[in-house]
Amino acid sequence: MTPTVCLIDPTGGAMAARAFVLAPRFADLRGKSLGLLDNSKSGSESILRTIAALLDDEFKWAEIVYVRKHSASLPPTPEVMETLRHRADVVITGVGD
Amino acid sequence: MKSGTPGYPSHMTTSDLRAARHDLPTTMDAIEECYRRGWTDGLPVVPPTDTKVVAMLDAVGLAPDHVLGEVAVRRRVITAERVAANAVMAGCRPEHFALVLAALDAFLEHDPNILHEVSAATNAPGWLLLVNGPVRRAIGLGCTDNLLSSADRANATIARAIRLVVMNVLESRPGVLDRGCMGSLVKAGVCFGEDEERTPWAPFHVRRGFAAAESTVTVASVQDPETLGNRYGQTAESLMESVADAMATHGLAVHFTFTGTEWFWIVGHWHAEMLARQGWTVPRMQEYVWERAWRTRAELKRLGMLRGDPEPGDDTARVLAAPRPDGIFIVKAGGDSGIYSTLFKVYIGMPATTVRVRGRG
Repeated sequence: MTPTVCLIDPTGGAMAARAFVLAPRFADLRGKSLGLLDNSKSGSESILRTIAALLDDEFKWAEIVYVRKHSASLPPTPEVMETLRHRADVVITGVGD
Repeated sequence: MKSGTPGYPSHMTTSDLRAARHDLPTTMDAIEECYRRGWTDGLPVVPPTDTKVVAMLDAVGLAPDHVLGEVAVRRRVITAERVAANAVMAGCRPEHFALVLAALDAFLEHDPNILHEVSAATNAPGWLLLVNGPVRRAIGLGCTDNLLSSADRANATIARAIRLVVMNVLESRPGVLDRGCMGSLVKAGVCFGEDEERTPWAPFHVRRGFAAAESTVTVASVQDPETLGNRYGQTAESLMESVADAMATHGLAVHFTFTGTEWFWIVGHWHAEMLARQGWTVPRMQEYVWERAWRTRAELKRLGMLRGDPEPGDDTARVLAAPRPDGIFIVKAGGDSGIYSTLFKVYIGMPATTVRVRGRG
């Protein structure tokens, strides 16, 4: 019999997937409330606000809701997510350094 | 401890393990297979065989599927078995495993997502594991000569185990989710003990509220350190001014103005001897260094560390390298062959967090 070395796989361990439903998509963005999620990097706010201003010409946002994460590489706090959920119809986010 | 851990099999065997298995003909084939699967940090690993993983779990009395924590941002569950497999690969002996678990506990108790944040950060911080208490001697952890070099098995492998857990369990691999730009030497991890036997001050963990007979590990995310070579100063003030000067310079690397910045001044043997001989206590040393480690806002703007053009008042506005005196941690360690200290800056991510090592004093 061939001697074998039995390796235990050190990778992975996925969490159980949580069921979630995507928010409904809008057919038209005109007059919607726009959320801006700043990832807390130093250039993020100016990039996001510039994008929002450029898009405003076309969509005439009802409101711009600006919120900021506490860390670029950590998820937003529940309070930040609640603000977006209650006040924004659509959200723009991204890395701005 | 074994009898008190829920789910721990009374006679654990390799059939109790849950992870996928891979059979190879020889140990050398197994080492190459670990490379092929991307499980290593570039150096060879000890093949994580079923018998070695069981021995690791046996040493701490944890069932294979015992959940140590969940890292939501990576959607991963960290189980004892997977950590044990990575500890084997790192070269740990079973008696090292309690320290690996304690270090992970510190991260998981602070914020499980921090394990991801530290590896994802572009300035490539690593982690520092400072060990106090009887466990240092029990496992032969280096506290003196060459303590920051790859010299002692316990130092090198315990720190490496954390890196491999992050790489393999969280799948934060360099170039993908590990986004270190220039990389760092500390990314491999730095683990060492305080030279408690020769420190003139109370051991670090005692100053943090633990009993001297307890074993602890203090974990922090850090940048690459700097060697401090004040060899000719004859006064404590000269030494501490050189430490403050290094902090004000070293702080330029990133985030000079980050309000959570902490520092580890690892005070070498002869520096500690002089400080103690001249009557300096830890709080007075912290205060002395803290108020001298600063740059003006004008300098930080000129050097590109702060955004914006110079404004009135920038020339006299002081920006402190350490936001508070007690965030300058003073630890006595290192050899007595030369007259040196070492300075670590704690980078954004994991602030210095001390936890007890289970089952060790």
